[in-house]
Amino acid sequence: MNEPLRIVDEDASDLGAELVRSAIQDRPSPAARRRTAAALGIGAGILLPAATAKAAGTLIGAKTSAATLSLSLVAKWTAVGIASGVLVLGVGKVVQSIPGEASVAQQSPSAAVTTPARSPSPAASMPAPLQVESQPAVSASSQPLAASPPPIAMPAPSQSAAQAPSLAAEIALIDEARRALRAHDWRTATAALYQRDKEFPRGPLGMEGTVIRVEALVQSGNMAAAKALGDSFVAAHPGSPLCRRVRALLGAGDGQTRRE
Amino acid sequence: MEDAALTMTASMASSAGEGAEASRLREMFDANYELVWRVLRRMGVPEADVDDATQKCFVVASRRVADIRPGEERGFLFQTAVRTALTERRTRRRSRETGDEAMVSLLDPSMAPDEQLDHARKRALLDHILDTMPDDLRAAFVLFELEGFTTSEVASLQGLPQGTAASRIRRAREHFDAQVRRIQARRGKGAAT
Repeated sequence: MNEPLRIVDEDASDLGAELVRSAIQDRPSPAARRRTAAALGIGAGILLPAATAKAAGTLIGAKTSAATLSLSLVAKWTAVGIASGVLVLGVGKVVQSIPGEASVAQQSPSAAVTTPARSPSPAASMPAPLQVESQPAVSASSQPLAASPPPIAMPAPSQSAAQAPSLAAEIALIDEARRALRAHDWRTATAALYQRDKEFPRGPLGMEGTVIRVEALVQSGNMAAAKALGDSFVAAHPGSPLCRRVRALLGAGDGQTRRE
Repeated sequence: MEDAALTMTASMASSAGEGAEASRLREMFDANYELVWRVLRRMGVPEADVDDATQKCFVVASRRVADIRPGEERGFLFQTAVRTALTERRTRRRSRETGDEAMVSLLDPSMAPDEQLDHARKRALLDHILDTMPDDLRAAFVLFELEGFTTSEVASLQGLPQGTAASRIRRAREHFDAQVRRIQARRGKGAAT
């Protein structure tokens, strides 16, 4: 069955796409996540589920049901709560290191364009999502140039856009890249992405730009670079809905490679 | 003596089982926390309550973890999230007045589009549109358009035949597009006056 085109994959300047994009970037606060993990007793991974359910129940709703617990249960879960709290504090620093949205998008994404043939660093393929800040997005090591796609002519950023950067201009470049990919023109797409990175290095569409770059790399046949960039994106944004898109792209790319 | 040994063995087996369940709960949490949070939010749980509602979903999962079949963890959590959201909405008797005026009030024609469409405003506008959608279409829309699942994954998560899921995705999209067109028409009219 053919998948229908998603709203975010259509015209990015459309109001509907804007609205959908705003929700895709929506996410809970790390503090809320820590609180819930602590309430469930899985902050440190030591409590038993039956116990955690009751303990968490009392936390949620100190509003509703705490009074129904017997004194002995209260004493028991208080002790357990203190124990888990201490351990949660112990891991708190690790949890706080969950990266923000910008890390991959701002890790010089244009690097994948200027040196298209790359191999993933060992760190990029390691499943260590809590420490991704220390991982390079794509390793600087390169494969033989003969195996890489032809170089791309990079357009200079337009002066007016550089002087007055705006979301509309950034969206226009993302749209241009998307349209080019739909026409299987990965060179134009890559050039548009390069321009976006140059003009809006900290723009709000960094994550989308990275995902489109993965698609461009897949289209160009540079699966090593696509995988390296895609893996680092997934490691940096494990909860993002865009990860599913990246995995699908890499999966499709693998299939394409096998067919070839 | 024999009884004591049996009791100890049973206790150890029980602890091992509980340890496995705790580990599974942790995996479910790590893999799905953000998804559950966003589903609750987009299914209409107010921002102020969504953290508590997320916690409730995982408390339910922690109590039922032994009953959840392997591979169906995400579907269980999704369906729990949808039920929790519907209950929250019913409890709160949230206003369903999501007419054009409410939506248009979020759009100020005197502002430039870039300023107008800041994230908070866009999310509020999206939530208004979603509030106008029937819940079955809304859930399909959230999974497909916002969470990026494929049609077959949407069908699996919702426990639906694939054709039904595809139909809901299509109808949800038509509904969404129609609402966006109406807002744009109203905005154009507002800007002209």
